[in-house]
Amino acid sequence: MIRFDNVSFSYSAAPEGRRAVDGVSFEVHPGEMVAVLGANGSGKSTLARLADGLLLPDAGEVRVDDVDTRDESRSLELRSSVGMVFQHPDDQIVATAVEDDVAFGPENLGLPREEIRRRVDAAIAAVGLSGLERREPHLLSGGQKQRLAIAGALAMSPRYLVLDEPTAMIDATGRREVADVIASMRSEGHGILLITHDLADAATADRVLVLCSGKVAFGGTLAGLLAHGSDLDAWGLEAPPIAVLATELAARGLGDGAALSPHEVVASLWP
Amino acid sequence: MAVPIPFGQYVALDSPVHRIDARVKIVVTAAFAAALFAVSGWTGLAIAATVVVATVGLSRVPFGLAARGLKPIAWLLAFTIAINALFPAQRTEALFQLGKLAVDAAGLKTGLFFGVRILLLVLGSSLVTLTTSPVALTDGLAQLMRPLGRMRFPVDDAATMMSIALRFMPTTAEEAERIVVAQTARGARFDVGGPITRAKAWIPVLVPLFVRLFRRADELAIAMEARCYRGEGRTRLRQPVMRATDWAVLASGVAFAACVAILL
Amino acid sequence: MALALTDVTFDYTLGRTRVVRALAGVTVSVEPGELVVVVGATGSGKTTLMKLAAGLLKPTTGQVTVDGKFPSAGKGTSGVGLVFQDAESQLFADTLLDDVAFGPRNQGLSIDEAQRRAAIALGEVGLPAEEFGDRSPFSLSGGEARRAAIAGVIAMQPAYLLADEPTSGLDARGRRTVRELLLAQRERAGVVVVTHAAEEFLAHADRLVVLGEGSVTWAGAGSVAVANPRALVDAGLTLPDVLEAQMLAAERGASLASYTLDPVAAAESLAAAARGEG
Repeated sequence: MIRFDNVSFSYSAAPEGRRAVDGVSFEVHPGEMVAVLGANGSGKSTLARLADGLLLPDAGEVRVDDVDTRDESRSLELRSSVGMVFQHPDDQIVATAVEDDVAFGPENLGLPREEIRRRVDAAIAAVGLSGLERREPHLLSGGQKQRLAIAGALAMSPRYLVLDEPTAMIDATGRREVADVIASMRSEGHGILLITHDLADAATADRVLVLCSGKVAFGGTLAGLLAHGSDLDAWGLEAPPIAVLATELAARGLGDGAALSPHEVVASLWP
Repeated sequence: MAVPIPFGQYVALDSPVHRIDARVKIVVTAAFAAALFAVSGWTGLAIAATVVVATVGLSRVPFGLAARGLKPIAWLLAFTIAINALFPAQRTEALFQLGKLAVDAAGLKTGLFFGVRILLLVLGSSLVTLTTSPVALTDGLAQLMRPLGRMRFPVDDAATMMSIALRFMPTTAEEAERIVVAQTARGARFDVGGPITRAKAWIPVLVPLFVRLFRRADELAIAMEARCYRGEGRTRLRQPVMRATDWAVLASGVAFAACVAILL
Repeated sequence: MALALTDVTFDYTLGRTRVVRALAGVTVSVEPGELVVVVGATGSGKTTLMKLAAGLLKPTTGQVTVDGKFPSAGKGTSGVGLVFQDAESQLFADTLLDDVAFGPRNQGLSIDEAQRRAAIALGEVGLPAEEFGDRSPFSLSGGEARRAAIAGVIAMQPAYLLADEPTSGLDARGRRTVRELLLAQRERAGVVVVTHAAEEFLAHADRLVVLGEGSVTWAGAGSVAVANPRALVDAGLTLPDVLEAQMLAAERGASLASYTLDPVAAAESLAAAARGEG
């Protein structure tokens, strides 16, 4: 598991005492999805970078399957067990063709050619980009680019995926594509840490964590979070309208307020 | 809606020239270039021209497209011919007057000779980029540079840099275009005033473009680190394999260039 | 008085060959004080539509008119302001005030007048010039930078304001602020919001236009759109969840008085329908 234990971090350029992440503890187990929610500037991207040792905690510790992220001798092992996907699809693709980009990670690990080929093919198939192996990345749609980024992470055979607002820059179709890929990764046993500011993205998460000014403001289920109604605004979050609808129905004695899709809402009213 | 921009110069076709190993194309073109400089007579140039034209034909790249690469050097060509014709090393017979300057017969001939040489050089080398995908080209260059690794030259880093540069060229071009449109919508004009005004007009495009590029470079560096990039100890997915035809083209190409260089 | 695209077709060409037909026979218009929402997926021709409206592109066939006049092609027109997607990538000047004054300066206004308009625009987007005017545009947060870029367009006082995905990538607070400031612009301009998700602006839309692969697949008043969700689905629109829930309920036989985008009102009418049956 990925385990944050009372982790704090400040950027050196930040004003004295301003912590980007402040005393955060949580765990992500394989096969589980944890969503970290928060407004811009709440520290959630910092949290993502702490998860695979791109940033190191000032206090507390981050462990991935018992490897301390500060243990430099094991940084390669660490980074191949935690795959990262960033917000801007264009800023993480390094090669001029889809399959070469997916191969980048395994190439860096110095794997033999046959093994690279096997992993590249498997990763491309897993994100549904088969047939586009030779495509130039700039000709892909936003959703395809993010799936390519996920394939690049998958080719390292990670046990965990950390996704930092992977759908913030792409349209509805792309979002659905990426959400489907994330869901299938999870069902295959990957532990997922999803960073987002959109509560709707967290609909299928096992647990959600709300960050506000670097601190954990809430930890629990999404339904529990939605019940907090008025606090959401203070945390810079907004309940999806469909969740408001479900909550209002529950207040009228209909359903349990947990429905997060139109189909669920209707099914709760007319079973 | 994004219009697919043709990437670099590469024309994706299937032809005998396209199929040749990138390394062979690079080496043979280098030999060809060297031969062009060694050639001292028109016969040599004529043979070289025949080879270039035949190769373009064989590559099935439309001549118009291949010739487009010559546009940027049109001025250089005109300049080379003019300077030799108007200011020859030794004056011979004046052909006609161009204002106050006399056009020298031998000078014009020398100018034309140099001009044709440059033309063939550019056309010949652009054939490599026209018929080789960027991926194959960077891979080929990286392979050819491999011996430099013994001299502590960071071959892996250089290859990765080339690949990233190629990768971001179209993205950056699209971005530049977007910013130009946005600033045009804010009333910016790029086509009025003198050279200084025009140059200044590009500031609102270049500043955000560079800011974006630097931010992107930061993000990219982090993304690469996250994918275990260390600049060394890399293996490669693609290992270009030299086939019999590649060896044949390599041997005959280099031998032919050597013959032309020595004999003509 | 209107910004009108009439039966507009646009082809992207390379040399003389047509590469893509981006728009085919599109008719859209907006009047001062109106909000028109144009919805379409990536590649539906949204951005081309904006460039045409501002005279940055010339239609292959059809007409674009601003208050009855033809904008000069290729140069943009000061009567139409464009806020592009990722608008913050157009910020360039040393100070925010100079940046926002860039458009007015290009309109030929004096430095003083341009800065005065810039200061007003900054106030309107919630970045008061006294506090933000001297700051570097590159020191702003994502949401602030987006608003600053919008101010750069508002400062040109366009009669028509077109915005492409104005809220994309922003968090809840940022989205709400941008939505409110665009709606406020209706006081002096006709506003067109071009987006892939109708959800955020549909409730305020005077008219809705659905684009699919370059053609209009549905067009009509905002209230008519909300009342006919199935037609919108058929036109290729992804419905707001609240509206979809009501449509699904109605298709299961629930009798709803009317459709609404407001989740509380929707809960009310769904509850009434469910109880009525029970």
